[in-house]
Amino acid sequence: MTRLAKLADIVQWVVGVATLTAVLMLFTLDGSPQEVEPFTSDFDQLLDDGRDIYAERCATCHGDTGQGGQGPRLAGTVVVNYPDVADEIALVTDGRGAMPPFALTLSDDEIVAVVAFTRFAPS
Amino acid sequence: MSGRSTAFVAPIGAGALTALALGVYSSSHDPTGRDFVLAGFESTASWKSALASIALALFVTQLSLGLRITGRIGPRRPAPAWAPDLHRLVSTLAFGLSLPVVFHCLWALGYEGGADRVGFHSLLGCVAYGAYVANALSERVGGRPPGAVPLGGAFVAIAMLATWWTSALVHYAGTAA
Repeated sequence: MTRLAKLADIVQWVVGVATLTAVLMLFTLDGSPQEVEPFTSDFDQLLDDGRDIYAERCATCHGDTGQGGQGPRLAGTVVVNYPDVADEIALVTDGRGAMPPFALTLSDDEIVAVVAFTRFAPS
Repeated sequence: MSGRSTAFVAPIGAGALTALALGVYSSSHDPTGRDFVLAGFESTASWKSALASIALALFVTQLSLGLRITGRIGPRRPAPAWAPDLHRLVSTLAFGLSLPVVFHCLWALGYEGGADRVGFHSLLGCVAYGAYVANALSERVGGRPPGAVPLGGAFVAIAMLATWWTSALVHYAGTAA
């Protein structure tokens, strides 16, 4: 048996064990969904506020409909790229790269509103 | 059932069951929406896209090696003796690298039906891994028709490409815009 064959055998064993572990984890790892309760009675108002903030602060870079421009596309990508809403809030608050931090120019409620708008507003 | 029928039915049946199991699990399991970011990456989507891209390159390499081994591409002389082992190694590495990606898709995001990108991605992911299982098993079953394994390998590579196209490529296109 060549070295390559031995290596292939070892890798197969490792991947096999990893596969079985992954299958077990699918059924045993804490799978309770994160508590996200965006649909409050004031949710429409939140989206309206977010829409206004987006138009004023974000549309210049990300496009009027989130189609992208100087900044990356947001429409249809935000939830995929940031499944955890806290990550998106942190990004808007602290900024990253060319994205400015909004901690000093927007209140916490305004950041939540604009984040909600990017995630839940009808495209 | 004849040996030739078994050679066809058993791997394809196992592949179909795998695809079905993935679909059923991801549909019935409540997606956790949990994120885990690997060191050196900005987001879940970025490491998933990177691993998926490397895995896709390996799947294509695996297909090329398979076609070379069976004499369908390359020079007329037989493939080097080490080619089958490298083929097996590359295939296993590709599958192994894709495992964390699939795990996160199944556990955190779940299956989404529909005729949009996410719906197609969900379906293609299940089909791709079912095809992988069917093809891997068919290599171990005797009496298979000639050309079945290369054809299956091509199907796996195309299904993986389509799965990558509807996820990682969209991510890169989105972040590059």
